[in-house]
Formats: sequence, structure tokens, C-alpha cells
Amino acid sequence: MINKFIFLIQESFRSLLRTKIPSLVSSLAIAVGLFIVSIAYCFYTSFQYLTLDFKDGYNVEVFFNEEFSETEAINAFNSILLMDFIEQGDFINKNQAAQIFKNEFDEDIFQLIGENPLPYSAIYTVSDLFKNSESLKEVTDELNLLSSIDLAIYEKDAIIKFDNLLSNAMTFIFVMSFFILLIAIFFVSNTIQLVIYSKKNDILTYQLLGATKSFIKIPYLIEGMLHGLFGAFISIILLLLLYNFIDYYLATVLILRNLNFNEIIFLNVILGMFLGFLGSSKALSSYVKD
Amino acid sequence: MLEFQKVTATYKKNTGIFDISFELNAGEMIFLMGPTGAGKSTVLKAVYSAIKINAGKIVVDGMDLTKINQYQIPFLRQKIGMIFQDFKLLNDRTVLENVALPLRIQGMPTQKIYEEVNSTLSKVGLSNLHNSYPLELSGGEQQRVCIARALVKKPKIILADEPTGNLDPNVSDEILDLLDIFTDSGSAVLMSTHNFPLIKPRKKRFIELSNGRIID
Repeated sequence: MINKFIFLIQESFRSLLRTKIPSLVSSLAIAVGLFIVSIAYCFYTSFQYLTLDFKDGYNVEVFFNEEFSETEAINAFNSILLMDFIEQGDFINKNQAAQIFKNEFDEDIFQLIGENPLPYSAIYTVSDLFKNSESLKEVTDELNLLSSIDLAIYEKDAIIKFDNLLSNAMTFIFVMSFFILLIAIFFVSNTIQLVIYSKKNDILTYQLLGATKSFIKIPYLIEGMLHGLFGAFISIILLLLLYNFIDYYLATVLILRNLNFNEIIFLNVILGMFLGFLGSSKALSSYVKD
Repeated sequence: MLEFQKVTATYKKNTGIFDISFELNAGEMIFLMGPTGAGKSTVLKAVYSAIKINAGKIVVDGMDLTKINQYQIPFLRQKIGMIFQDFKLLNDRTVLENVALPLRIQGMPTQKIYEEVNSTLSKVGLSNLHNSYPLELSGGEQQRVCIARALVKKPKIILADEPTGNLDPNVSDEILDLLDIFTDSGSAVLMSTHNFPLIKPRKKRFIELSNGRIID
């Protein structure tokens, strides 16, 4: 069994060396596909961190019952803190509210109306799971039902716009990646089909000599995976060059954060070999039949 | 070794073989004779299951071919040596690699493969050509390579489909001499040919076919 397998691996390398130009074309097609998908992945990763930063501002502002004393307001504040969807909160007493008023409107409320009618309030940060527009609406609706609260609000419009932007960007990235990978599979499949077609008489000889379907197919499947592996290698080189270029020349303009290069290398290698395997399988299904 | 029992195998309504019965024993050589289209190749194809039979039974070394499934066909073919008129050699492999191929398919260790191949090549008189490529060889030499490839796995049955069809008479005689030698070692040979003058002096059994039927 092992002897057979070693022979089949040797056959795949032999076939690869015999078809250098088509193999190179196939590998380049995979390399381009992997390169673009890797860039999309890097953008996705960076975008995720950007959205996490932005989502730190997904807060709910709560105004407590205006007849509450400070103690009653603090009790209400603490009881809301215990709710599942709340991560943390900041209590704002009347003096702090007045200061915020002054910072925003550049007016001293005491001087304006002689007293401080501003209610006790709090700003709550919701848990990560609830940092989207639908969940925030539900949270706000639930808080508005509480008798201790006069009003609970969040920045609805900005959050909805951002969520839509994020959703559209992710959809675009995934759809584009999917089609690019399909094209890469098509290239590999076509190359392997050409190789198999040129070898159809040899394949017939193999069948007449008693070779099983797997004996015939395995070298081509391995060859496809080798195309994928070489493609991954080319893609990784290009990505490294691009990364160094961005890091050196565009660091002030474009910040690539938290990129795990080992992850990207792993993704390229596995995806490349998988694409190669898929392309070969598709080609073989047409030619190696009963 | 090989038994046909009232075998019928058809491609279309009146094309194929009909009601064929014969036996081939160990160490025996039978010539299948007849003009082009008589059904000689169809008989051979039925033995290595390249076509399905419509009626009757074929038994190869105790194995009833009507009872095997498609996944068993490669293993049947591994037991049969086959020689073709057009040689069917792999032109990008050396003589040694071509002859070694059946043993590679069986998964034999490399060292043993080289021993068996070298032994077989010397039997067919091609020891000095093991590193040559098929296209560098004459027709007779290529057919010897084909014979060596068939013999290297020590089959019990050898099927030869017009092995001398592309060769001149002197070379054809040499090829038949080789096949004769291997019947002496117990292999059975079933060979199709339309060249009666070639086989007449051999004094072997022959089965004459016409329009897919045996002529008594």
C-alpha cells in the first residue's frame, strides 16, 4: 500500500514537471485568487477592530424619574446594572449633568434659570451581543417600561447607518471572495482537464492493465493540490511584499491592525490546496469514468 | 482456466458474438481466427469485461464473470496478461517503466519490481534496451515490450489481440515463438488473428469465427 502511494506521489510530480507552463498558469490563477481573498480577509479583520472601537460608543442614555432623590436614582441605576444586557454604567448626578450642559451649550444653567432641573441620569454600555441596532431598540424599549425611568434613548440613526454599512461591506467581501475562488477553481479544473485529455490513451492503458479508478485519479488530485500549494506560496510572497510596502510607505495613512500573519499563511496554504483539489476533482469527474 | 458457456454479447441488434462455447486449459494456446468483424476482439473484450455479456457464462480461473461488479473488474484485469495490436505502451516511460507498470499497480516493492522486470526483459531478449523509450524501438521490439509487460505479473491467461497485425512475417514468427515458450510454463494463451498462413504451421487449436458465431 505504501509502495503504491509513494509511486502515485512520484507520478503526480512527474506529471507536474511534464506540464510546466499549464501548471504555472494554474498556480498563478490560484495565487491571484488567494491574494485577493487574503487582502479581503485583512480588511475584514481590520474592519472588525474598527467596528469594535466604534461599537464602544453603542450606549444607552437613561434619565431617571425626575421626582427621584439621589438615593432612589442610585438604587435604580444599580438595579439596571444587574441586567444581562448591561456591561457597565456611569451615574450622572445633577452637578455632573449641569457641567455637561455647560460643556455642550456654554451656558451655566443656574445662571439661566436659577436652579438645576436636570434629572439624574446614567450612560450604560451594553454587552457585545447587544451592540447592534435591533438589540439596542429592544433594550431601550424594555428600559422605557420601567417606572424608575422617564426616558431611555440611543443614537438610533447613526447606529443603523453604521450597521448597514458594516453588513454591506461584509456581504461585498464574501461575495467577491466567493466568485474569485470560483474563477480559480475553474482555471485549475481547465488545466487538469487539458492534462488528462492529453493523457487519455495512457489512462485507457492503465485501465486495461487493471488500475483502479483511485490509482488513476490520485496523481491528478495530488497534482491539483500541488498547483494550489505553489499558488499559495506565490500569494504569501506577494502579501509579504505588500505588507512591507504599506508598513514602510503608508503607515501614516493606512493602519493594518492586529494582523496575524501565521493565520494568513495557514489560510493560504489550506485554501490553496483545497482549491487545487476541487479543481482536479471537477476535471476528473468528466474524464475518468467506468 | 477459461470457459465460455453459450456466451452472447451484442453491441447492436446483429453485431457481436452469439452462442460462443469453448474451453481453454492451462498450458494451451488457441487461435481465434476470422475476417475483420468476425467477433474475435469481442471475445477477448468479454474476457476482460470491457463489454457486458447478454447471455451465457464466462469463467476465468474459477471466477464467474457474470457475478462480478464494476469494482472487481480492475482486480480481474490484474490477473490477465494483455497484448495489443497497437502495443499501448506509454511513450514517455522507458521500457523498464512500461514493463514495471502492472507490478506498480499491484503495489509490489520497488526492489522486487526491478528484479522481476529485469528477469522478464531477458526472457524476451530486451535486456539491453531497458532505458530506451518506445518510440526509439522497432515494431517487433515494441511488441516484445508489450509481451514482457503482460508476462511480468505471471498471469495464468494471456489475451493477445492481433499481436502480429503490424509486424512483418519474420518478426511475427518470433513473437509467436515467445508466446509458445510461455505456454510451456503453464500460461494459457488466447490469440486473435486473421493471418491463417502465420498460424497454420503451428499445429495449435484454432476457433474460426464468422459473423460472431463459431464455424464448426
